Amino acid sequence: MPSADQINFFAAFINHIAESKLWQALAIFASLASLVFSTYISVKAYKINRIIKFNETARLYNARRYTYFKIFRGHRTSILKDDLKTDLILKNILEDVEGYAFEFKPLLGYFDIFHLYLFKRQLKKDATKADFNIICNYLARFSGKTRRREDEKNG
Amino acid sequence: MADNRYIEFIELLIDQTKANELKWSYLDENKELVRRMGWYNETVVFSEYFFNEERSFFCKIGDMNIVLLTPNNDISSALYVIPYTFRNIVVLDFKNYGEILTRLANIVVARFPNADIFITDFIRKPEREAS
Repeated sequence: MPSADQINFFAAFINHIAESKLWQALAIFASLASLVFSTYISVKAYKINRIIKFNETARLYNARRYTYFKIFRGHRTSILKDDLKTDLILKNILEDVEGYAFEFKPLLGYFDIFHLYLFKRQLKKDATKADFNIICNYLARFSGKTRRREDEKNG
Repeated sequence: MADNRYIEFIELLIDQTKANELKWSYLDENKELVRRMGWYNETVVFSEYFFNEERSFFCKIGDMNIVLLTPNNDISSALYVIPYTFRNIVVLDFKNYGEILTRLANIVVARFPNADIFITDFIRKPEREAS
């Protein structure tokens, strides 16, 4: 058990800290520094998380880009060579395009997202109203894009 | 490396399918073929196919089974040529024949009715009649 003197000394010390301007300034500075530091850590963690996600997606993309290349080329040949200009092929292409957009979303730039939006708009039209020439052009664009390997980020 | 003989074979399948000379069916309708190829797992409690039942088909040319198989959770299909003996099977994979297999799949899928397309057509019909 602490003696009465020890308790008194401790209480006096606490009083001194509470009343000291220097200690108050130090406390304010420490709390501000910890706020800045924790914000910095949060931003850094968010960026690292984004890079990890990007690299995971890039690895998946590099493994699967030829699959999409062949699928998009196959759809294009179906339209051009087999003259398949039906609602069914539009739905099939849309399914594959949605899969592509969903799987590789972190890798897509604003320009790609914009083109995907226009592409999907064409695919959602009736076969009688859809412009199959535009659809073939988009299929060529996205199959061409899959030729490029996606590099991983290091930070 | 793609073999030109196999590409020619798939192109012939496409031509014959377009000419209605080949009769494709859904793969899960041929239980024996599916079982013997190990694409079906049946226990007392459950049964499951290891392929996409809506995107996998088969047809017969003589004694040969021609199977267009799309695995579950994947979009890349493969073509199997399976003799009735279930030996000396030829597999044409997506890696080498993906483009032409997608073409074949589009032609084969178009042979089967689709409820979603029916609904679209059904809605569109009065518009056509009015115009």
